[in-house]
Amino acid sequence: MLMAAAITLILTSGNGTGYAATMARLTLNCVRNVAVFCVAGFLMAPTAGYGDASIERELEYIRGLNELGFGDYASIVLESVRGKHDGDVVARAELTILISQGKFDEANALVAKRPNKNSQSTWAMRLQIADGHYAWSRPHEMVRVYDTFIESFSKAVPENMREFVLNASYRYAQMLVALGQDKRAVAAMKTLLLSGPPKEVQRQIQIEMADLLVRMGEAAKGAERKALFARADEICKDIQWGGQDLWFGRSAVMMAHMRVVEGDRDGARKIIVGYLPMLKAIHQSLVAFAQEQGDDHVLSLTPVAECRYLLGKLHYEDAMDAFAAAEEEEDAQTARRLETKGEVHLIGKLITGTRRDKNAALYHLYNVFVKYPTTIWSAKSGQTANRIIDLLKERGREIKIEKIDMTEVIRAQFKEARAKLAQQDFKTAAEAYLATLALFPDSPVSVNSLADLAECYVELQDELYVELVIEYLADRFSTNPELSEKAGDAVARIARTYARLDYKQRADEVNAFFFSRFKSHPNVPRVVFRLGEDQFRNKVYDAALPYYERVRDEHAKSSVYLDALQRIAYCYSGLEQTKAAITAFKSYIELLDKQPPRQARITSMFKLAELYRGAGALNSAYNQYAGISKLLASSRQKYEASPDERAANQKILEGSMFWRARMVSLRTKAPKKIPKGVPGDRDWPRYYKLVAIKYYKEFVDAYPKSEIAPAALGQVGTLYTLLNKPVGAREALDRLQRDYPDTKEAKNALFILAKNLLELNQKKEAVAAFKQMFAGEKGRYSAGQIMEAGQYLFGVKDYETAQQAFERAIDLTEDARMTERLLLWIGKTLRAKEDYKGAIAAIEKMLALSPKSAYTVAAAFILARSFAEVAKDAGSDAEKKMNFDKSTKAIMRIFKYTKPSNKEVRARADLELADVQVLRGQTREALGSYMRIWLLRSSSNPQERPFKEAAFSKAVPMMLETERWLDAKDTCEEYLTEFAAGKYAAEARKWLGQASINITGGDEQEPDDEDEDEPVGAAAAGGGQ
Amino acid sequence: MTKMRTNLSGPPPQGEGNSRMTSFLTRRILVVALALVTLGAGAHADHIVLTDGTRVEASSVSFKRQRKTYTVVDPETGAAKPFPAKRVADVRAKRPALFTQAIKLVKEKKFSEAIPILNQVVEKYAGLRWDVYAGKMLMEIHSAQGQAAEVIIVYDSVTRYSRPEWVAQEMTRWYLDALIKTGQTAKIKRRIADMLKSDHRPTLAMARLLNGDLLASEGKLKDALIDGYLRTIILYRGVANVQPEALSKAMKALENLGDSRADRMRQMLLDKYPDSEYARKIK
Repeated sequence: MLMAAAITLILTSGNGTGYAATMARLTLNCVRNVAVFCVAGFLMAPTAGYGDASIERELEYIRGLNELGFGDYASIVLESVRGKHDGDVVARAELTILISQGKFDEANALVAKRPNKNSQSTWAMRLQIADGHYAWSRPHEMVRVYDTFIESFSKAVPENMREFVLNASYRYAQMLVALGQDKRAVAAMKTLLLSGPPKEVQRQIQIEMADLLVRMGEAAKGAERKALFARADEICKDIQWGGQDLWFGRSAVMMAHMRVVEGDRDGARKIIVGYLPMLKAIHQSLVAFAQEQGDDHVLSLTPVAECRYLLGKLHYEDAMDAFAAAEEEEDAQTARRLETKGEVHLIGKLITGTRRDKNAALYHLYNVFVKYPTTIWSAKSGQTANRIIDLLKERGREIKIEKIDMTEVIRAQFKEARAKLAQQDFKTAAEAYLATLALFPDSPVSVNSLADLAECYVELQDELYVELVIEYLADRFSTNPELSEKAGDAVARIARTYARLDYKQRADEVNAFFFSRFKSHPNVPRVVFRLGEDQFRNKVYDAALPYYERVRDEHAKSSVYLDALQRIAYCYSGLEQTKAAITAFKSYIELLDKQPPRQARITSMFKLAELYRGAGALNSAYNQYAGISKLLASSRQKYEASPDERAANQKILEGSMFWRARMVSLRTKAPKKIPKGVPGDRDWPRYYKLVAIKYYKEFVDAYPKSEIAPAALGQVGTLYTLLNKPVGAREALDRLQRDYPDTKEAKNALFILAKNLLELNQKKEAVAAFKQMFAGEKGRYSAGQIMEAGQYLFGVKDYETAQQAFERAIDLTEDARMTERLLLWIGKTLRAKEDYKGAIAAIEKMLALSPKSAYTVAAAFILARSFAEVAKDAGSDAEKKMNFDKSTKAIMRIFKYTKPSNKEVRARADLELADVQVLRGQTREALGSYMRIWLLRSSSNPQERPFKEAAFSKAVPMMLETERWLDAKDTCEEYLTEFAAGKYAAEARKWLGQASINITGGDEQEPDDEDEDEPVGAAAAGGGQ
Repeated sequence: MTKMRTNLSGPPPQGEGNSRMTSFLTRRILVVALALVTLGAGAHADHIVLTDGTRVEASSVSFKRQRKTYTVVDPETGAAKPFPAKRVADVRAKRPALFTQAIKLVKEKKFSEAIPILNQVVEKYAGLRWDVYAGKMLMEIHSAQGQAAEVIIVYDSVTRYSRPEWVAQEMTRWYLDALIKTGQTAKIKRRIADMLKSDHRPTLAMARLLNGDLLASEGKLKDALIDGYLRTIILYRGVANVQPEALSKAMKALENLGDSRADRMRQMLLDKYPDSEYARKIK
């Protein structure tokens, strides 16, 4: 509302003198400088000051915390206030929080409880709520409260409440002005005056009332205008009788302005000239005051500036009239006389030689510009003076005077607005920016100010005006060769403001706008890259990828091109799309080869090697590792420019040597080209193992302090075991335990051996080694170590042996917590083996042992699925129902024991519920559950994203099966937008095609009534959010 | 296999240009040193300035610790005259050769060799301001190397015989940070309480920030946010020089609490103070 009022104010002021807007701005300036009152607003001064700065500080802090989104912390601070201050202060603090959250009913209830309904503190709170209504753009509510207030004190004001009533009434009047309710505001001011304020306050109120009347008069016509101006004139004279001060000056200017509006320029001129000596005296007083205070801001109020400006403007308008008349005139001589008259108005009458009379437009305007630089009139004078110089040039009249460089002038005009923005007083800042932008909409300085203005609107959540500003920036400046880059920066900055405030969708929209309207802006690639980084940082790789690909495809020459290629490779790796990742890394490394050497090449080569290894391309992996070792051995210094890089390369070198050995140890086939002298029937698998042992030993000898040296020795021991060389194996394990006694490898030699054998695909030997662990004498391996072995076996899907491990570990332990964990693992293992009844038994035993187990949620997941599976295969309907109900109960338990903030677990539970519904044959309910996940989970939250995607993959086939073509189409389109490079992108496109084919033109698919059923369980229990 | 991956495959590098030929530390110290060399190289003779503004020329100035007096040798008569330290507002003495030697070592990044020489300067030139200059370099080196106890020792040494206005604000900040790191809670609490009595907004803002650091060091992250970092951000938004640090520390505290509002702090830091040291670290 305030913004609309301000904009209306600016727009309706027209291009004449901009009086209304300027006067509104000056009024605000006066108000602030006189420091008696301030414009109301929830975010500004308190309704009834408690006078205690520390309390005000706490309240300001509470407000600030709420605004930053830390409402929970605000409540904590409130509690501390409660402990230290009296009831009124606490109540105010509570009100502050409630109002900031828009909870007006609760705020009113708080006030309703107060015993004395008419005390100052109660009224202060009621007005605080009213101010809150105003801040929340509910002016009618605000007016209702304040009207009651005014009514209550219209006849008499208790002496002890006089100041409070005056302050509040004045504030109300100011709010009415801001809302454009001028008539009401005048009435409120009249009431204020009747209540007998102190003299200096009375004069200020009078001048503001006169301001309003003048503004109303400008908008009116005929008799109405006359009447309004007459009232204003009367007030001005009354003020002038009261003494010569700032208000005296304002009143004189106002009277002159009224004459101008009525077309009586001579009358206006007469008033100004008549009052000028007195206004100059007032100016001198302001100068003295400013020097005393050390703050020249007050000089912006000098009445002399506007008067001189008005004089200049009057001359200018007279000149324009004369020129216009000259053009119409048929008689040449008369025309020439009129032209001369016009010029005299602009540059003064020639007195002698080159000396001219100073009573002319250019002289007055330059005077204002030079002598009163802090005023708004300085800028306006500069503008008009430049216009005059251009006009004279067009008329062939050369003036020996430079055009005014408006840049600094305009920048100075924005100073106040910037100061308010820095103080986060967004409302006032927006008003100030708007007022100045109305005068200087096109200057280079204005571009940044437009971005500031938009930021104010973003903070004030005024979307409409943000849009207006962004469109304006694009329309006005995107094709301006000098300003388009600045304007593009401004738009990008607005997007960042949205992102900072967590309005992701708006940020995306503004960025899209930036890309489309400022295509050739140099920052486009960097912005795109940064958007990718935002997703990449959160590991949302499929959302990051399109940004990086855009940089690669559209901005090959930008500074972020190489980085984008690297990121693309990492994204594919993160998405486990190994083939694509390998291709991307190879391309990246090839490009790096054309650049000066850098550490990134080494890291990328290592990453590529890992990818090859993960994909089972052992020879390619070997080649990479060997290549890295060779490169670092020969020219390492080229690839490290800092201690950090040196450390990184060292780790990579050690890793490469280790893995090179490992890759060799896995080889079994003869090489394509057998070296000369080597027998063709060599035992190659054995040979390679011996080579690997040699490599491992070389590595350990070269880098004995490496973190992975113990692992290398473990491998040597394993390989010797496989080669049936127990002496070598013993030596390796002895060295391991001697040189690295505190390492895990040394302590778990057998375990490590078993693990290594598994990784070498020697499963039989590995299981034998593990069983040796379990069968070993009691005490040799702890329950924890055996459990770890079981977990490892579970990880490689050897569920039988894993189960044996867990059961053995239970036998070894007497610790209840360990038993609990082991029972959980047994349950997991049995479930994996599809022994659902066994799984249920194990978990129920665990929960009986520990009803409040920390693993309740994990246990519940196992029970949910197991009961559902048992139900599915149950013989009777009763048994089915019983088991399905138990399954649902388990899921409800998950919701009960999971905090709402734990989005990952809750999303998983939602999915589990839906899956159980499918097993139960409750197709509609299941579809509802999947859709609830789809609609309510966020794709930008990395914890929820995979579940949302999984829900999609299950929901759409169900939709297609039940011929819900429109739903399927919409859902697929949404998926392709949010998961452009997602796992199911190909399926989504296929399903989309299928749905589209089946949608016939004009036939909207009516949803079934049945689809509106409440889904079972989660929604009813409040889960799923 | 899992362990290997964790050790070696870490997050990818942040992009181009992530190496610096000269360490940040060295560069900063050299800037200080250069400024001091320029200072010291000014062609002024030794002199002291008294608290009433009188300048007393000297051919040499020395300081007696026990008596806390300056001895000034008159350049013309050779007579030595004592002045009590409380009457002396400023001292200018010749730059010690040791100090020049120390600067050279710092330039060559030989910090371990520079440290004992700087300590000698602090010891030998107490009260003559060269101890403060050397002390500042020492404190910066020790701070960067995480040697909190040494920072405290140096600060105590240089402040014993120096006027407070000779001691750079940075030094006090390093000192206070070192107190927090070494768990000298009582001392830092007293200091913060004193600062909070000031009506100088930058001092108040700094006090709140330090309070946050203190609470964070005690593991009280939420308190650190409420009574430290968020207070600084909200109530002292006009004190620009503390804002980036407050935002950065608030971000880290929230991250450690697993609170996603850490992102908000990150964005505010990047948007409002993109050129700050703290923003550069997270870009």
